[in-house]
Parts: sequence; structure tokens; C-alpha cells
Amino acid sequence: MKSVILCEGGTDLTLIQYFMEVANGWVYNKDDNAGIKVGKSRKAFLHDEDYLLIAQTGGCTKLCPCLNKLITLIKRAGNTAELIDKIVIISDRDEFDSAVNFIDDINNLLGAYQVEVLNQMQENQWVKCNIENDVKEVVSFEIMLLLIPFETTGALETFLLEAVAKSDDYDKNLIVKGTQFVDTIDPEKKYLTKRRHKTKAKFDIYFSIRTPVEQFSERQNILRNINWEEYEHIQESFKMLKELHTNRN
Amino acid sequence: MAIHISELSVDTYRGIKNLKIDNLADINIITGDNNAGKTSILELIQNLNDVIDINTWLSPARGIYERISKYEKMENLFNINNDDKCVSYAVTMRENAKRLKIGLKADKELLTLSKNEMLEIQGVLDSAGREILNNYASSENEKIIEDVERYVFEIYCNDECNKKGIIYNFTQARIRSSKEESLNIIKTIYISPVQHAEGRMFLSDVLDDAELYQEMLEVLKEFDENIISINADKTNNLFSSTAIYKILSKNQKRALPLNVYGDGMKKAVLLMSAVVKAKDGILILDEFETAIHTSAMDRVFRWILESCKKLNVQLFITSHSKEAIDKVLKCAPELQNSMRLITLYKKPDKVVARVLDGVEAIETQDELGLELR
Repeated sequence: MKSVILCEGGTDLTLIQYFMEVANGWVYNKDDNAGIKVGKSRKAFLHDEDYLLIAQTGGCTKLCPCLNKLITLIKRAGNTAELIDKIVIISDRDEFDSAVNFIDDINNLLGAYQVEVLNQMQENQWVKCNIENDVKEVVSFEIMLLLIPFETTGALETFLLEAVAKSDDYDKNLIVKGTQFVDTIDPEKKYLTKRRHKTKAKFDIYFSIRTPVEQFSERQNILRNINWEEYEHIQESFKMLKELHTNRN
Repeated sequence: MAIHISELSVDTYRGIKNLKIDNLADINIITGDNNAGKTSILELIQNLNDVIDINTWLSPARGIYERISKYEKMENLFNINNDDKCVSYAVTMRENAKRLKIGLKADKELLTLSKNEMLEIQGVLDSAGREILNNYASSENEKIIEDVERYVFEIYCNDECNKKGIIYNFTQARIRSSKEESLNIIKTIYISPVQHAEGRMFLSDVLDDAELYQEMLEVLKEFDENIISINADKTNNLFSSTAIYKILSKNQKRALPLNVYGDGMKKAVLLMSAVVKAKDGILILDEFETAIHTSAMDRVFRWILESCKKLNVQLFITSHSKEAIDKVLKCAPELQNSMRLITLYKKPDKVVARVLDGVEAIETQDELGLELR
């Protein structure tokens, strides 16, 4: 099976990467030669014979253009091995609510390609689609819009900070003080205009102190040691990402 | 616009069934896996030179070096899974939007012949039983030969039968056919992957056009930077009336025959001269990149594409090479909208085609990471 996850930013890509690796057993494939250039940056993963690409689009407004590219790929692929079977769009509710008619945009895009949508587009649900490709055959794929609600515990970054805080008191103190700083430093909301921005700022402050000089391996260790499986208890919908791997047992 | 045929549809020919390729362009690159049908497509286009000449049907692109009988070649034209022995395809001519349906039907017959009859068919005896060839013993002439097979065929264009004939399955049997005139739809020039090695060139046409000749010399400097000229030398060829082409180069005391040069140079000369020969017609290049080094591809391909446009030549090329296809697509960006990349896919019960224009093809490869071949 071949799948693509579209997320908005680089941090999202990193966090989803570690979630998929630790919780779902995917392995990062540094030598990926699949060549799909979607989004601002991307990483490829393998799990047995399944392939997963996680791509960050560079923002909510870029999700539809990236989806457009993926549907073009499905339409032009001549061999079944080149097809994409599942597309997941991960966004948080904050962005979703502020993006006007996001689901309408997706539906319009699918309509432009004359995609037959077999069940209604809803968040956190697989939507089955059929499309006639460039060699006049009907091929199928599925799309899921996976939204992370923006309650305090909902965001990936928040989950991660809480997990770190649980494991080390000293770091917990860093996180608490960093949180207080972010919550009070911009009272006029000149820069931190959205809740999402505050969440990211709290996350970045902790890592700026914890790994002040970009220490890739150190950050990797932190992220790898988080108990990502716990996130599924917070975010039920993330359990659906298990379906990107074909269970061969 | 150098588009002579805008659409090709194949009902049945060899392993191809129900294939339609529309929206053909000035430059058409045909690719796909082995046995997808690339050469078969070229053969059908090549046929347009004389659709009722049975020898054109039986000596197609793939068959030049095949050592099999014409009877077997006839058999190989038909889809092995069909009981009906027929070929049927159609082309739409851009000039007048006319659709031409072309086909060949054959009935297989089993019969018995006398030896005399067989010898007459082989051209050993004439119709009165007299020997045409000498020293043939006639003692067994009345012997009956059983289980002789033959195809009785008809070739038609737009439902009108233009030629009939018979092909027998025994060796040296001559094809018998009715004597109608040829039927040329459009001039086609076919270049095989190895024709350059045989020394068959079309240089006389290039040597008559000063501008094209100069351009060709400039391109050939990719192969020999010292090249000064190419000339036809008829004086020393005692065995043939055809010219020997010689290249004069600054670093050689005398002009050297073209055939002593490397394959790359010969292939480039052949391709470029073929473009000129195909003026106002169709040029078919089978595995066009064979023998041409990577470093020369850009220049040679660019000249070919630009000259085809200039000379009103519609180009059909096949390739397996990812590098060569990439080079053709990118060597002349201003021509990308005049290109089609046609990828054939062999499915369990049919052959299908994906058609992309040049811009789409580059995007498909570079941005989507899809295989063009």
C-alpha cells in the first residue's frame, strides 16, 4: 500500500514522524527514490512492503494545491505500483475553523477531476473515491481529513510537553515557566494571534533551552523516548493511521 | 504545424486490440515496456506509404532481418487469439479531417497441388510447364503434394477492396496479387535502430540544401570538431552507381569515407539526412537514440526537432531510454507543447495508451516521480 500524509508545517512533520515510527512501527527511509515532490519538504517511510510519505505543505492554504498534485499523480499513474491508495490530511481544528469552507474546497477539487465520491466527506473518516485515469481505467483511493481538536491536551506539541514534564521534574519546571512566559509576553496579541501560535511558541521555547545548539541527535532521543502510543488515548482518530499499514498477520 | 495524421486507432493488429491514440502532435514519442506494441504502431504508420503493397505489410520494421517465410510473416500479422485472420486500423488525416479505414483480411485454405503447380508458383516453370530455370529434373513433376496451405488475402481502404492475392506456405513461393496501382496515403521514411551501420543514408537531399547542409555540419562538430565538409564521391565506386560519402576534416590528409567513422557520427548523419528526405511527410525513428553518445544528444535532437518543424515533417520516435526521452523533452523547451509522450501499457486483454504533452510529461516525471516508460 502507498499512502501520503499531508500536514501543515515542519514541526507537524517531525512529530507525526515520531508518532508513526514509535507507535506504528514505520521506519524512516533516507534513500527514498519514489520521487514524489509534494509540499515544501517530505520524508518517506517503509513498513514491510508498505510505503508512507509525510509531507509538510507550508500552511493550511497549501493543503489543497498539494492534494491537487496527488490526484494528478493518481490520474496519470500507468502502473498499479505507482498509485496512491490513501491520502490523509492532518490539520488542527483551529486552522480548520478559520479556513473557510475547507471541506468545500476539497469537494470542489475532487469535482474538477470528476472523482466519484462514494461517501460524504467528513472529518476523521475514510472517504472512498473512484477516478477514471489517463488510460481510461477506474482506480480507487481513499481520503481522510484528520482534525486535531484544539482543546489544551489535543495538540501534538502539548501532548509531547506533558509527556516530558511527567518524566522529569527539572524539565517540568522549564516547561511551566516557558508556558507562563508565552501566555503573558504578548498581551496585545500582536504576534501570537492564534492559539496554535502559542502552542508552537511553548514547544519551541522548551526545545530552545533543552537543546540550545541545534543538536539533531539529542532532539531525536527526546522525541523517540516519548510514549507516543499514549497519544491515541487522547486522540482516538490517530488510531486510524494504523490502517496505512496492511496487516499481514 | 507538421501534423499529417491526428489520430490512430487500431481494431486488431498483432497483439494490439481496440487501441485509440488521439491528439497526435508534430513530435510523438512512443514508449513502453518490451512487447507493449511500440514497433507495431510504427509499422502501421509505415504502411501508409503504400497501404496496398503486400510487401510493405510483410516486410515491416521488425521484419527486415527475420529469416522467416512470407507466409509466416502473414500469420504473424494477426492476433493469435482471434479466429478471424484480419488486420484493421484507421487514421484520421489532419488536412481534411478524413478518416481512412485500412485493413487486410485473409482466409486460410488447405489444398493439394501437383508438383508442376508448385513449381509454377515458385517461378521454376511457366504456366505452360516449361522450365524457366535450367537443369531442373522433371521426373517428379506429376507428384501430388498434399496439405499445402495458403492465405487468400484482400487489402482494403475504406471498405473498398484495392488488392487481392495469395501467399503459399512452401519455400520460394511467389506472392500472386492483382496489379492495381499503389495507394500512397502519405510519404513515410522509416529508420531502424541499426540502419546507420549498414551505410544507407539519404545525404543527397541534404547536399542540395545549402542552409540545412551548413546546419548539419555545425551539429556534426559534436562528433568531430575538425570537420570541414561532406561530399559525395561517385568516381571511385566501380561496383555501384551510388555515391560514397566522404568527410573532409582538418586533421586528416584526405577525405575519409563516412563508413570508417564511429557509429555515433554515422547515426547522426543518417537521422539528419532522413529528416530532409521525409519533407512534407512522416519520419519514423525506431529507438532513435541508439549509438548517439549522451554528450551529443542535446544538439542532435534539437536539430532534428527544429528541422522537422521547418520541413513539415511529423515525427514518430520510439525509445526505451529514460535518458534519451528526457533529453528530447527538454532539448527544445519552445516545442514542448508540440510534443506528445505516448506510453503503451500491456494489460491482460488489451493495450492502452497514456498521452501527455511535453510539459505534462516533464511534470509527471520530475514532480510526480512517475515512470514515463
